[in-house]
Amino acid sequence: MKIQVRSAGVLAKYLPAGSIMNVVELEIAEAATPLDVIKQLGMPINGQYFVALNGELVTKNERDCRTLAANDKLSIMPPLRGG
Amino acid sequence: MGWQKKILRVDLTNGTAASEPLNMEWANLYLGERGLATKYLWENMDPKADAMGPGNVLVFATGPLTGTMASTSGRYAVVTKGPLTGAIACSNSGGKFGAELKFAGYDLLVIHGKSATPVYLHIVDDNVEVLPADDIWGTSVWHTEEWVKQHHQDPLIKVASIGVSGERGVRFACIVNDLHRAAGRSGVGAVMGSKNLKAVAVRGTVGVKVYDPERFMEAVTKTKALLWDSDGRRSLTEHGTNAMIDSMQEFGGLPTRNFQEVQFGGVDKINPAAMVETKPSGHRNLITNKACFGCTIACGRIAHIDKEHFTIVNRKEYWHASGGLEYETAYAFGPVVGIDDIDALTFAGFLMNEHGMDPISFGVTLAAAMELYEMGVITDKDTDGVPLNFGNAEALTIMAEKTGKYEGFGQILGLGSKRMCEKYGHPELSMSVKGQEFAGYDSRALQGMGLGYATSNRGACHLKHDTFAEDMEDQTGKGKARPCKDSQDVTAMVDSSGVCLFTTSSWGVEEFQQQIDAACEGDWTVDRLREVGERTWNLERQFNLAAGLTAKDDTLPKRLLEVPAPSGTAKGRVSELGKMLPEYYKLRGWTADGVPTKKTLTRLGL
Repeated sequence: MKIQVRSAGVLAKYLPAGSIMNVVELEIAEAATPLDVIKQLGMPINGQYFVALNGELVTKNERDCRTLAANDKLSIMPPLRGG
Repeated sequence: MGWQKKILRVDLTNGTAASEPLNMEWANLYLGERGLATKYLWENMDPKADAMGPGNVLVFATGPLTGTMASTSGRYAVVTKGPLTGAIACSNSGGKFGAELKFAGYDLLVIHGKSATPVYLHIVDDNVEVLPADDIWGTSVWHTEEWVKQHHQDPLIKVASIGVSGERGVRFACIVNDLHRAAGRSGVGAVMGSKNLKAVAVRGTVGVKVYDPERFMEAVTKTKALLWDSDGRRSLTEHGTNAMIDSMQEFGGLPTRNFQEVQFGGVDKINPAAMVETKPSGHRNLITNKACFGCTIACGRIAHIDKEHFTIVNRKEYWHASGGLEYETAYAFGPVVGIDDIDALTFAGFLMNEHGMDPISFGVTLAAAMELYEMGVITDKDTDGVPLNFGNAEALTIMAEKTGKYEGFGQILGLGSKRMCEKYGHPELSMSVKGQEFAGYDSRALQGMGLGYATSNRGACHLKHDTFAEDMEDQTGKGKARPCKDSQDVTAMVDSSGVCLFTTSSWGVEEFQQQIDAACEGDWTVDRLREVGERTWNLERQFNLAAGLTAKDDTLPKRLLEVPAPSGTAKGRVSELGKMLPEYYKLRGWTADGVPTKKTLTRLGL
């Protein structure tokens, strides 16, 4: 199934070719979790990210138990810090 | 060592300047920069004095690491009573000015009184002159810096100066050094202007010594490597602070149209990706990044504006490269006023530096004016015929220039949002704490940030605490008081050291301890440094209480306390400040009215 993944900043380099404005359509396995997608993209699994699924916050503890569905919108963003 | 153990005291009323030994008893309690300047302010003025009167004292302060080999060691602070808030003001700047002041042999510059005529200070090591500023009064920061260098035939002089906005008392005027670095917040430039002090020009050749050079360099090498390897540093170097804008948009904490919304549809036109995009005309906004003195991060952006853009098409004087968008400027000229024209945002940033104004306070004040305009409270008659609708990029740049030059409606904007909104009968539209406008984080989505805003001693500020990690993981107010209080203390210590807060992307207190203990004599432990921060925070609080502020000032606008976030991950939430504040006061060792108890004051030696 396919989902839409958005990232930015230092994490954008992990998005596969074909991403437009840091958004890409990604083929993932059935019942995959946000953590599975982080692994699939090659992002360090212990990195500090801000993750949202369809506009809702996904905390660290939820990243390996929330199940993704087709057409979900997953955001994996650099941590909020300073500025 | 680390310190020069000497300060320069200037009496502008009498036109005199004299050096004196640094009070080492105070240095051992407050370290330097923010903390030590707060102590000097406390001991040298009545907190009830008029912020724009001769009784206010203006302190420029370096830290023991300023000018050393430590990474980011170019920092200095300006501490005074703030005209925007009536509270203590502490504004921190980078560039090269701070290190130069240290090289001239001074830890602090303490300025009293008011000159009868415009003057500037010229400091070359021990030679200090108070000189007439008639030739530069009424001119911009950029002109002033160029004039001083030419007049003294020395391109290496470092200049900190104010523009017309500071001279005329714009409440959020700042002090700009090195053309585009600034002690930006709380109106410290207006204090300088009220003293008829146009600029401080410094050339230093004395150098800086540290207590144990070998141990110091070992610590510096180790901490620089740690910083270099961190993701936080990498993000700041590669994308600048504006990297935050994409995350805030996704999070739903990006204040938009005067905090009526929390997400902005035009983000993709003003984010770091847009800054490096080459337009069909061949123009690309970002040229390169830039570092301050001794910095191994280089988060600064150098940009230029498309020559065909309406803002500069007939103004060649702006066809050069200068300071580009950072997160707070992108927010304050973008989402909060509903504008997505990157060239207009960049031009507004140039104008802030040229005329010496705080972009955050200007942008949020303009946002309030735009809301007043759309409500019909003010009209074209008030705004010099300029339609102040949200999204009007031309209005942004016109008003930035008018405020910088203190002309027309710019004089009203120069009051700041609190005074302006009160003037028009809608104080609830001022998005501020203690009169100082919010940075680019909505406290309905970031609860710890809201507590930090409400309790910041200089009014709303995002740089006096760090609860980002906690706010990312939980969107309630639960458990936010402890990290808010602890990070406020650590930040106060960092701000007292002479290095940049952005080092905390990888440095903890231990890394500061290793460098400070090697640079300065005395046994500087981690616990002692934490206590320096806590002592500084409590002395700032004491200053504010003595100035007349109370716990009632530790609050947020009704919009954040009562109107739920309309979208984003925190949709439906309001700030839970009422739950967090009592816990915070208790952790601080303060009464329920926000007053430090005798026990707390005694413990901290206050």
